Amino acid sequence: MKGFRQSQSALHTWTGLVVGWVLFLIFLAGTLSFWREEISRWMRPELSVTSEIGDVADQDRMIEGAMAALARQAPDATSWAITPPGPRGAGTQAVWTERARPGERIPFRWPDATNSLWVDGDGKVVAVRETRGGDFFYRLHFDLHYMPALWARWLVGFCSMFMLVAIVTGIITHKKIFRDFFTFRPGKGQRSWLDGHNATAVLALPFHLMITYTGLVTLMTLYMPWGFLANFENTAAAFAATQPNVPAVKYAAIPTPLAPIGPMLEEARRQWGEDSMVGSIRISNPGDASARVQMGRALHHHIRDDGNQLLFDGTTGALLGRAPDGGAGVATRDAMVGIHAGRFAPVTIRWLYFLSGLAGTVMVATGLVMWTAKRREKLPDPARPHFGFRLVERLNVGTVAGLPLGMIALLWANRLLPVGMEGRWHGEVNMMFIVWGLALVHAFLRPPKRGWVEQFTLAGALLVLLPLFDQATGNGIVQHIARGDGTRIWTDVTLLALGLSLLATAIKIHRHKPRVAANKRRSSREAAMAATGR
Amino acid sequence: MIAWLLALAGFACLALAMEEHHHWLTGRDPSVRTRRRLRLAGALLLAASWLSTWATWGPAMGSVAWCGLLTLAAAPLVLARTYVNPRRR
Amino acid sequence: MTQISKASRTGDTRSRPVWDVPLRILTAAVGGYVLTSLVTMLLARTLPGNPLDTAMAATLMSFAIYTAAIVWVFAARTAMTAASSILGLTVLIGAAVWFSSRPGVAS
Repeated sequence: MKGFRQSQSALHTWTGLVVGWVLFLIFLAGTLSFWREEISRWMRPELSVTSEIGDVADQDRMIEGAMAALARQAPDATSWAITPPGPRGAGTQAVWTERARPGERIPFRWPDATNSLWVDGDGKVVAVRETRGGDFFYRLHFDLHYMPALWARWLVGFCSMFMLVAIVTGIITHKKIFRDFFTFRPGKGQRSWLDGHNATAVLALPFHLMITYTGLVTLMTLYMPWGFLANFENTAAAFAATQPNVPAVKYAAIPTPLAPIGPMLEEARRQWGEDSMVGSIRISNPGDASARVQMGRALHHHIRDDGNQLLFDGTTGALLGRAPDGGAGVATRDAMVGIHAGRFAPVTIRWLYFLSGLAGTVMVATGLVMWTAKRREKLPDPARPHFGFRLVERLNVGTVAGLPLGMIALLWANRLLPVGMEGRWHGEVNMMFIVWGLALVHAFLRPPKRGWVEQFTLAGALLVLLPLFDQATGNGIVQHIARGDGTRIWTDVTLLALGLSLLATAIKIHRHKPRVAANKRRSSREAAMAATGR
Repeated sequence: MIAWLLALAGFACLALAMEEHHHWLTGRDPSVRTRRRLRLAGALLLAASWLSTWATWGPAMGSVAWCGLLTLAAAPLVLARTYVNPRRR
Repeated sequence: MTQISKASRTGDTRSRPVWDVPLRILTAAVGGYVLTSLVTMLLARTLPGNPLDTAMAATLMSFAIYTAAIVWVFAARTAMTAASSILGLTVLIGAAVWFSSRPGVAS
């Protein structure tokens, strides 16, 4: 059994190191994504509490406003997509796709100033700065950036699988993990890192296991298509079995007006239950005889992440079909995806998600730092470590401190870039990667401890200054309180708190005195070994 | 909130059922019977906290919330065990 | 973790052949994946229920199966034991999948 645990320990260390930095990004971006709609609201200050959804009537007014605006803006588009806000968001987004000329292929584009518009609570079009908002962090979580989404998803899946193995082997390795459960020994160097790693790992263990496994499940048809290929012609056929069973139609090129959306919304509520909200509307070939309207239910009503799609004939408004009710397998899958994304979560549960996610982020970070902390003592010459050690050490600084710094720079870019700038959201995102890149360079130029302190200080200061900047430019917390905008008030408070904790981390590292006395080091290492029973 | 307090109490009992932590708080070693009782009380309190999440959120969402609350309840205990020394005075 | 240093000091890693770890990694990553895929296919075809549900259920389980396979490969006494058993299982389950049929196509 001892050999078994030993083999698992090595597996844990090396799987952890190989994918640690990518996992840190995945964890951090995913944790932020629990506040996706709140971040979107923060990044679109033009929309305020008046564009939130109170009841079904608010929603209908915004959807009808969006339809009217789309009919003016893009009457002969291939498709329209309307996304009303969830209970935490504000403003309705309307996106269109231009009709391609024969032989032309229109590449996919994220919603930007040229193919989308925003509708406020009165159903009127409102000018909003071009930004990806919280959706950027959500996509970064599994699509990364600057690379084809398919490659990114394979990379993320690969890392998640490593994570799953690291968690399972971590549990096996630390058989005493539950014994040490209530123990954290600060100020003991490596032992503290190990305790910090264990504490964040064990305290939120159900969360880590759940989030990693269900994360793999969200993209399982990509990673593990074989089960579907065993029973279906291809994965598309399997997907079709979850959708309304209605044959597709071709563009007819016969102009036909769209039926009013109101009755379709009413019918949708009859199908789903009276208090159900619409989550998404997609209209293909609007203004044509072949028009189709597809509606998905809002995902915050229950845990299971199923849109329960309905399909309407766009010219008559008649219901053509609804998604079949799945059996136990489909329901389990929907529940797993739902628990992963937490779209159902009311704000109290959402905070639990966020804090657990932060614990996971800290777990990955402390794990990475531990790798160097453990090896430093065994180096032949600690003053001049070998290349591999230095590489890991510097990459840790540049990622664990540098990535948050880059993300904060993105938030600043959202405030500072000119509002009418062309390709504005690309500018914001590029800013994040430029600053992250600079942080990596900085990490390699400075001694590690100075690197940590300087980058955390800068990140903390920039984050604390953000709400103050908003106040100085006249749309700050005073205005939010005056408007009764709870979401924005809490967002500003949270930004301040996160900024202050980054500063506190910097101070803590600055004050930390590495132990030099060899005998002290020895004894603590022995104590560590004795404590873990090895 | 009630669920959180129940979980906190539950974890406290479970911790006290372990010799090391019991000694830290009281300075005495617990008897086998005390330990068994504490463990039972801890388990019952955790179960009660689980049920009380149902009252607020319903069984499905309640269970998810409970898992998160457990983390939040154990964290202060870990910090207390680390930074507080009850027998210093 | 701490045991690594201990392991290298007691020298029991040195008695292993050089190709031990690479072979284990290859077996775990590639062999484990192929084996998992085949088990998933077999489960998708043999579990009770409609084709979509069984495919879903089998795929949901697949990541646990993969993890178990990886853990086992690194726990096995020698890399050769691990590799040959994974290969054996793969052939066995592959044959079972080969002789099973897609629901609704031929039966």
